[in-house]
Amino acid sequence: MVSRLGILTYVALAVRNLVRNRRRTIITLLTMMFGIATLTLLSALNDGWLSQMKTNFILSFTGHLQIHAKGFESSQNLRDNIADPEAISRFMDTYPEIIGWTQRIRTSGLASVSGSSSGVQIMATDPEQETWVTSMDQSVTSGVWLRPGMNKDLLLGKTVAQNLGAGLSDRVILMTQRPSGEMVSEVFYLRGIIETGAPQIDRTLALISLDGAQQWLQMEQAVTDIVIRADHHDQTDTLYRLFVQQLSEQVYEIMPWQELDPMVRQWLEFSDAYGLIILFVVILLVLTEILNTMLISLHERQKELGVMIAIGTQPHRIFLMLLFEAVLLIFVGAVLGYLSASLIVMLLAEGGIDLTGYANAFEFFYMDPVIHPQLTRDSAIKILLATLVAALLSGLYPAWKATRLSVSQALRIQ
Amino acid sequence: MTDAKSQLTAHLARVAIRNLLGHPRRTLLTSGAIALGLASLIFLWGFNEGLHRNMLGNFQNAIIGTLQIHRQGFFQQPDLALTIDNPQQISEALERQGITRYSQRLDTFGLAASDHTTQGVMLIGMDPLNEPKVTELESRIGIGRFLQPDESYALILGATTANNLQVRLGDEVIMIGYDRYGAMIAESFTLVGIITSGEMGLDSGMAITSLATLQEMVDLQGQVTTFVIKVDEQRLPGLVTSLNDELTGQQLEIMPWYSMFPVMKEWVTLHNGFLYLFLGIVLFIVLAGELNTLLLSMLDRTREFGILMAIGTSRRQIAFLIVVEAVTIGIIGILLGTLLGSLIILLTGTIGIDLSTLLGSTSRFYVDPLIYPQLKLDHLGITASAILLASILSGIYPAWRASLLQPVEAIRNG
Repeated sequence: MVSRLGILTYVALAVRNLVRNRRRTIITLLTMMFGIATLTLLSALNDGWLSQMKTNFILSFTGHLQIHAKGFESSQNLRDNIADPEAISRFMDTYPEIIGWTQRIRTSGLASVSGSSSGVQIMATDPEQETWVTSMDQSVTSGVWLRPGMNKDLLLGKTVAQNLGAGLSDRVILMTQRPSGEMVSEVFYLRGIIETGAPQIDRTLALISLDGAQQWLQMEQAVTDIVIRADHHDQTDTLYRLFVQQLSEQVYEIMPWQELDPMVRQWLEFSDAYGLIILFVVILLVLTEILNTMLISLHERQKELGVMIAIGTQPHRIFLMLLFEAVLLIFVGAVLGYLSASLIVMLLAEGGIDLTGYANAFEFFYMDPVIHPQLTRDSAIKILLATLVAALLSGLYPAWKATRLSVSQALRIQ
Repeated sequence: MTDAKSQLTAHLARVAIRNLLGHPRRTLLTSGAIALGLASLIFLWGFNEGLHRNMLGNFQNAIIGTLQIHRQGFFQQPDLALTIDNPQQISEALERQGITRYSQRLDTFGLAASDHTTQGVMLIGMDPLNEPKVTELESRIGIGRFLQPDESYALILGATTANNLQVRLGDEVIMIGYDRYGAMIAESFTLVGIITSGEMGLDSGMAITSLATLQEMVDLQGQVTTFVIKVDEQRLPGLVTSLNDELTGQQLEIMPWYSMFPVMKEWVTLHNGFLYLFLGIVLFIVLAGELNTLLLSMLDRTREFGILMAIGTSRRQIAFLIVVEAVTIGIIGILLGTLLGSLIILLTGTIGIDLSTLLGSTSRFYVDPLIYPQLKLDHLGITASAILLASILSGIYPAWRASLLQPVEAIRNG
């Protein structure tokens, strides 16, 4: 008789239980929905924050990918240059993933204005192409961006200009070494001040035009960096592989942004770890909240379960029934929670959450005062896994507890 | 009349407590969930606090100290013309304040040159005897050693700079700079130490030699530009005020670390902004959790309320009963949670939380891999009162619902 009742019976029973106790079901469902929704929202906030930092970093200076002559990044020596950039730039139009690229010369030198001097990172770039790769031209806080054809134009980082006491249209003398080793100095005119908020840029940058630098340093067509911006962060790896295939390892080094500034990679890792610790605590909290709800709801149903046992239902059948109930509840709760959180994320993503009230100068470490939450596949998987654990824990334990119910005691209650 | 009223109130409160005691499981489950929520809030806040203290401490100990004194305007524009007129007077003022951990420096810019290339650097003359009292720079020298007293023309470089210059211990490095009159000077130094901190701003752009050597090189015998002072964070605001009073009229700038590097302070403020967002959401989860358990248990007690009403308990009294129950649960939760949270903080505060399992081993940002969470009493007060408020709020809705019950229906359906 008992054996004729199949698994489906218990599924049906579970569903009927849930529908019958509509209020209890709704309350439990709301808890789950709420828990999952907050989890999703927090993780979206975290992801949005991290991804904004990444974007700000890439757009402020480095681009997604850089190609140098082999050994340049560690030697920083102008002799390690790309003599024939044409050999690389001809690839640029063939990959749709590339939305902008530029050529640069990077070297270090000394800038001086009437007696005071400061060590600088001299960077020479193409005034027009640079705007396709980074947002440096938008970081000009006073004066103008490099003008094409004006080879004596100079832009300085805000802190450098301050240290030198240099004002717009002042004469600034740059001193550096040619690839041959010869020390040379040249007069430039300060046309603009750049403030990116990243201290290492604002403190050291001296920006001049590529043509001017090539003439001054007698480098002809040679450059030190070819900087590429991809359409999306995820395409960095694809582009990296493409260029590794095309270019000889003996001649070139191809570096994705993570390698170009290990500090930023570490910073991102650090922020990620910090977010993970917080998320972990929240997951724990949501789990207990769900488990708690299930336990209490079970507690209130002891009498009903006692009756079932009294009429001969086997404990493992009750176990199955309760487990189905839990799984159903959590499944529906998770879907609803995720959906409602996605809705909130979608609404918030446009305007963002504005934390400007907390601080003024923000771009330190490339952070934005406005967080735009972002749902990613990875975080969806994480949340799904957490939900699965929640389902198992909060279903199994109360269901197991129920099988150990003593009939007489359960029936005696109330 | 009022006496009878207060007697009734006390009586109702007793009933509420007895209800809670009569259902120890439900009470424990609900207040346990609140306790866990509070404990996680306490932990997260403590973790954040510990992290920031660690970071700010390391940041100050690395090189900048807690407080610096320069001639007015020197920090913005480090010019050798802006030396401190009367260092003796500052020393005396500091001694009067009971400050023993201070050191004098001479800061200027220079170009470090090796056989291969040049690098712009900040050239710092440090007092080899007093410097270790203020900063922990000595411990960050991974290769070679710190300056020794009476040693001339010894040089310490950051690892990145040394790498770029391709120099090793014992090699000759030429420092090119300007003396006080603006004339170009060059001196030969011997590399005795390399800073390998892995931290931004320390490993590059810095060259350190002894104060006496630099004074001789730039022809400023006996003169300094900077006082670096180490004091407790608590003493800092008071010290700044009293130093300002004592040294008034001397054209000095007395700058605590946060006026020199406001980004660091803003970073902490911003990070706190994120944390508060998270804490707010966690608080919300706790609130929803209690609301939900109260609603569930109310559902179960509909009959009980019906009977209470039938024997003449007023609606308001029933509502009061439920709110008292909610608040009591909240208070038990707060007590348990404070205990649990303090225990967690005590435990993790002693052992430390190892971030290095989450991070690459190289990640730093002035943050040690081991973080020691710290408990602040005002944080505890804020979180505990927030939870108390939440538990009152979560009692109000069920209380209102219960007061709407119709006795006859409640008894029949319950």
